[in-house]
Amino acid sequence: MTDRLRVIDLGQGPRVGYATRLLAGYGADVIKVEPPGRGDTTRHAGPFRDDNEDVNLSGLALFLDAGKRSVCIDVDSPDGREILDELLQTADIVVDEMSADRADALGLGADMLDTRWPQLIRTAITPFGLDGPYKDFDAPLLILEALCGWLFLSGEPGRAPARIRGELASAIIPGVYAVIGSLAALNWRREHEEGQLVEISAQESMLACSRYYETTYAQRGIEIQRLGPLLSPVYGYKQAKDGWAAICAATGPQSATVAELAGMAEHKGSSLFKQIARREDEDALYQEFDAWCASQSRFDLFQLAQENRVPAGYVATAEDVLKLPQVLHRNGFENQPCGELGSLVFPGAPFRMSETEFTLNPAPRLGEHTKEILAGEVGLSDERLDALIQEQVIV
Amino acid sequence: MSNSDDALPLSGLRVLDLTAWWAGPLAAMIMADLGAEVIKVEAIQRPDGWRSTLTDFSLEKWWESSPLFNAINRNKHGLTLNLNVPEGVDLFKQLVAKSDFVFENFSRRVMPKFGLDYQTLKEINPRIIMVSQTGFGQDGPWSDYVSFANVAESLTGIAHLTGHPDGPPCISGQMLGDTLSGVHGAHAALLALSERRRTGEGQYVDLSQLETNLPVVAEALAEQQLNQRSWSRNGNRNPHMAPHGCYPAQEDDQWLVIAVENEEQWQRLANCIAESGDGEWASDDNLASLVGRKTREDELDAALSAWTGRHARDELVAQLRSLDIPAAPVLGPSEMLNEPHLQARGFFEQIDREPVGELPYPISPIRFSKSKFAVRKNAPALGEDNEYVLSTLLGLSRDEIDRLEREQITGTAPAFG
Repeated sequence: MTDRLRVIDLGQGPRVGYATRLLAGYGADVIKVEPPGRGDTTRHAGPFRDDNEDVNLSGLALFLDAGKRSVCIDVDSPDGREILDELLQTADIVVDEMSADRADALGLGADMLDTRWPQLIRTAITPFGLDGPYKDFDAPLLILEALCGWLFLSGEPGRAPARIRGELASAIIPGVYAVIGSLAALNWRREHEEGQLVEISAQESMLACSRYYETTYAQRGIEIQRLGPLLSPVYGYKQAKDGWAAICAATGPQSATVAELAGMAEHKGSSLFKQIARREDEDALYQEFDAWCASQSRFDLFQLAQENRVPAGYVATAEDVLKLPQVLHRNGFENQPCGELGSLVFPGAPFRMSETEFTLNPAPRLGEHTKEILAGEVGLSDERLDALIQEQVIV
Repeated sequence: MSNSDDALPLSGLRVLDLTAWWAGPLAAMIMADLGAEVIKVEAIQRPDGWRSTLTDFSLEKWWESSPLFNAINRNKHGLTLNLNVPEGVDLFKQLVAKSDFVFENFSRRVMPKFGLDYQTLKEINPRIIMVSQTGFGQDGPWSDYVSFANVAESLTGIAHLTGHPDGPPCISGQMLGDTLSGVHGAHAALLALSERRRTGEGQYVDLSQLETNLPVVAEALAEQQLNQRSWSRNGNRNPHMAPHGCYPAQEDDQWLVIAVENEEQWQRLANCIAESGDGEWASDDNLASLVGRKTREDELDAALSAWTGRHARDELVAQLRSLDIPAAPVLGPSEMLNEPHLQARGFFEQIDREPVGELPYPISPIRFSKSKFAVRKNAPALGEDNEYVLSTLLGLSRDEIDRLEREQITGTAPAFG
């Protein structure tokens, strides 16, 4: 990236953490400012080896913080705020999850940016944005997912909706939108020589890239329901001999191919392969098709379908994922040194660029770079550093 | 502040958008919303497949009626060009010379087949940034395989982590597998733009949907490696909170979520349950700690479900929220349109487009203090901007433009068969 961007990560949690991981991976110098002692919430999330909690050994934080440097500053103390201000002087972008009131208290409020930090791009990712009735609602992910429409769509019909397990599924989308907004603001700054506030509501970002079910409802009166494993008899997750396969025939020709592969070519015109409402007198065909799927291994089904141009996969466990031949061939995993845990394999670059590398240093221990940054780069004297450590402003 | 094109972050940049369906058009729409001039290129012989998805086929111009197409292509210009004939390819190359980005999401052999591989585009315009969004990437054993959202969600283990422990892997209705590819397409293009500012040269982006989906399961990969434990579906449970789940309301098929973050919240919830006359079960001392509640989570969830099932959803949520217990209704699309917070922020905008009339569409989720998002243009009708592109940008004469249409190299209605 150009002239090594300096990014200050003032966030807590996986949304900001994912945004700044991406910025770090593609070349930015990311400094993560964490509260002394406890650090980011993701440092407490795990998974931990043998479930032994340790702020430096949380799987989620090791993944998210790779490539960053960590500095501990108590930004709620007057001295801490002063140091933060000095750090911000060196920054191009600050990414945080502060409400409007919280940002005002730290001197980063919308009205203060132009006068205090005219060149700074501040990207705020909050659950619900900076205004509106929920602006101060610091909702846990599950609550947010219920209010952005994702949860309603996920799970089996007739049962309680069920989310995608983990912290990342609904953190990544807002994080990527934050990176896009930040880079767009950077382009603006080059033209107009001024920074600005970029606001990302996680709720809106997740809703904006769902499938426009709201517009569909308004236009067609069609209310989508939870799909369970299947969108149609030939699109979704099918029980195979040794687990689940994904057969995703969405077009007429793809459905016809599936009929042929299953030895049911003469039934191409049935409701099973036409993706129209199920006809009860065709129950036997559905059973025949399910039985055929169940007689094959999930990998064989995947390969047979793909070799015949039908989108397909198999439902992988974590162990399977680590062995995905396509990802291994493309070096799609990063082997990351993780201190006493040895090295862990994590997902690498989300895309490949012909001229720009994606590389990540190991994730920092909490406060690992406090001295390096505050002495070496902000220019605090040794006496000042010692005094601040004494007062627990920094660690 | 102004809504004109020159007051947006990507004003003055031009995108050629060859993508179809969902993930690619999302990437290009993000660029359009940010102010780039995006020219969506279709062929009348092969319009974007999204035009015939959830379509109202009773309308004369049915291909203009898909809510999905209309929502994911706003702020784009529309050009039709048959790239299967040399003249179509030649016109496209002339546009490449005048553009900054090319987005495409064909199978990897298609652009070379058109004679439009990156090397060729780069010779025409060294500043061009090309983003290829495929299912599996440009090389490797599966590079000719094809993908939809649920292919990527299955192979990366997202499907394995979606659903109830005693149920099947489930489709994520929001089709996360596609949107991850889409947003990263725009992300890549903006990074390449930053780099071009420095080097003066464009570059090529090889985006594999599979790789954009992998980060979702990073925790499961860590758990596997750290403890040799395999994560699978767990409903809505969370290791650090209990109760943490989705519970039925009194109304049929209506649900609410409750996420108790700490002991104080639990105490308030337990009091609330006791005061509602539901007995003393929640006041059990063994449930006062997270460990105690996790140990008896099945029993806890069952009792809580029985309690929530006796209450109207919205009243119960309001009561819990008044006690500072995180709770929310599980909202589906029809209710989302009236969600008060989104309404206060004007997130759905009424847009009038032929032939479907005025409908609510979500706006861009990126809000800038120095410029304001606007719908500058509706999703294009097929070939709507042929005149602008061919005449204004490429300087073709009236006669030439008419001839192209006669020869079906351009056009404004699908020509199948």
